[in-house]
Amino acid sequence: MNDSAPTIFVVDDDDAVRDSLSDLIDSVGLEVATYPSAHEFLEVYNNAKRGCLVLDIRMPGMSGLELQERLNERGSTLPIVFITGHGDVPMAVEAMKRGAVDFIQKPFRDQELLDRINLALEQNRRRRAAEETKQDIAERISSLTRREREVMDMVIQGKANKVIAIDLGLSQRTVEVHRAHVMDKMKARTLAELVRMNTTLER
Amino acid sequence: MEAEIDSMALQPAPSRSPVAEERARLTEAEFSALLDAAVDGIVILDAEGRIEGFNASAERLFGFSPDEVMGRNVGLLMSEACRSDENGSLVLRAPTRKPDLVGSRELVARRRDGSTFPVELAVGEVRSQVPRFVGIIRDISERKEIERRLTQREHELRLTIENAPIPIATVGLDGVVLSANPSFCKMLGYTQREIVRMTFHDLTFPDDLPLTVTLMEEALRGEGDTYTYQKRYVHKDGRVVHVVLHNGVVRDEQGRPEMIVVQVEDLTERMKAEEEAREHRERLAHVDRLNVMGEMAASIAHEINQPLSAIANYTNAAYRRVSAGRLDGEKLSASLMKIDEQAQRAGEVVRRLRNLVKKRESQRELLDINELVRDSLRLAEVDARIHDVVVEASFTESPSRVLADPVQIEQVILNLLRNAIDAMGMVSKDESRLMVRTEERDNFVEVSVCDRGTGITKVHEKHLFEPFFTTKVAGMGMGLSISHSIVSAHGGRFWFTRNPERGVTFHFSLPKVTGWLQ
Repeated sequence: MNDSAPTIFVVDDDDAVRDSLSDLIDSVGLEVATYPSAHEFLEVYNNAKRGCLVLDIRMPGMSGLELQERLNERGSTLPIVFITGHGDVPMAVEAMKRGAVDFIQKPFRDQELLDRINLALEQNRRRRAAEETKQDIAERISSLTRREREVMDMVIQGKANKVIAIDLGLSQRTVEVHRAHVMDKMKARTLAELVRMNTTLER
Repeated sequence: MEAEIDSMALQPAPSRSPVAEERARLTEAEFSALLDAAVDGIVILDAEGRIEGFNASAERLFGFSPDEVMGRNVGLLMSEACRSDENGSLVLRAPTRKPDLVGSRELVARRRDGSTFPVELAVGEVRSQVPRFVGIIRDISERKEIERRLTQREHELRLTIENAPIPIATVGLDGVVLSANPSFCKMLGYTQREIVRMTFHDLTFPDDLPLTVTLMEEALRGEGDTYTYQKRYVHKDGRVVHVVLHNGVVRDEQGRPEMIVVQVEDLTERMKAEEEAREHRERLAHVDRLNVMGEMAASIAHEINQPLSAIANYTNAAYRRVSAGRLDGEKLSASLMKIDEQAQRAGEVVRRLRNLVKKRESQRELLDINELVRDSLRLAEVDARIHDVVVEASFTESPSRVLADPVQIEQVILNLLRNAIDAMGMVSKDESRLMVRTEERDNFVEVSVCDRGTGITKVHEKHLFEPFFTTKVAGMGMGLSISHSIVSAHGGRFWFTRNPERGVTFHFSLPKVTGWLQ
């Protein structure tokens, strides 16, 4: 999944605008997929897809704002760049409140749009990466034994091996062995790294 | 004859000759016939007030027979009240021979059945050795009744006029106000005492005097007793009062006019209501016009934006491909075709727009620019008040005439007012001042709107008259561009200057109309 290129999804009811956006995005070597309506996009979209959504705020049928709401309901993290017309600023503000990355007012310079798309992709990438790291750490933790988990928690709390040994009724030597296993399984080279992993997970 | 008179004068009265006796008897017979034939009741009294004679009419009037009254005091024929009042007692005390007993007076008489009725009593003295009095009694019930009704009618009429909510007055043939009811006085602000000395010349609006006089003369010549017309009075405080008059000519028995009764319909309230309704309608129509324009502009903006966006995208895509050396001929010609298609689409929108504008032909009228500015100020008044903007205006002394479409020019003025008010949104209250001025320069009439707002930056200046250029959050960017084209179409100029202190002044000029057109 990680290696597939991100896609720019374009949803706009105007054929020429949609086609030309597709042409523009394609010209800078990005993957692009176009949909003439919100419904058609929803039919094919799932949360696993990566990239960003370029969305016309005003459309007959389901509007851009409604589509945003549906995606939020589905727990989508796909960033959205809204394209607004003249006088749609209040709508755009509403869209931003609901988590849109940005909006751009027609007519716009191509570079402005491409910049926003890149920003959105970057945000999506970082978000995905963070999620993957989280998942990775969670997997490592799940590989620990119950005892190793106990030791790790106490290490993170800053307790010395001697204290841990007393608390758990183990010999100091045994604690040292558990601790070495934890560092190994968690792929942590230092205590600081182990603490950081833990806080990442808590976020 | 002369000798006879002489002999009569010489001879004492009692010693009548047989001829004279005969004559006296004949006279008495005649007298008796006369008594009985008389329509009025006749009563003969002796010096004590006792009844000596009672004719047939008296019998009919009082219901007594002569036998019943002969020798009784005349008081029998009078009502209780009359017997005690002075006139009655005079009759009762006839023997005192008061000189004023003779003559006529009105009394209340009493019939045999006790009922009373008004009479006129004329008393004459019979000059003889034994003094006697003759009373002629006329039943005046009918006359009294008519008099009573007349008095009542008069009272009713006076009450009606005094309390009438409509102004009523009477005017003499010389134009002097004879009477005026309180409503009439209130309408014109005078007291009753002041107004009755005045003439309608004093009260009528000077321009309406000829009409007033002509109509009055026509009516007096006998061309109709009533006439109705609309005219203007002048209130004591100088204000004009619009009225409809319903006049009636009062004539004497010979048909000669005596005076005119004027009933007034005061149009002030009605005209005020009509004026308000008209203003309201205009305001609505105006708001409507602006709304339609706004919506139109928004949809045009959208429709033109779509193909323009597409063209920009295609062009930029092609440019990027060319720059990267990744564009083949086939792809390029496809892009160019699409660009052309979108350019055609934009052109189509513009063509439709032009047709739309063409539908409303410009209506040129001869106008006073000052009136137009005043109208616009009235419309912008609310807006100015809401934004705490003080509006000042100065106008050319005489009307400045232009040949223009009032709707369009008003739109231009309103636009400038609107912009000026918006520009002062951030300015403190006591600084928010807007100055509108009309001036004549050479062959042009110039209107300027001066604000103390935030001004115009050099960057914005370049785009000022471009369509869809705006610095306002909710602006359409159409105002100045449309205003500019309207003024140009009228053969005028449209420009702005920066004020030395702060803010800007927008000006537009229109060719002045002089000469024969005026």
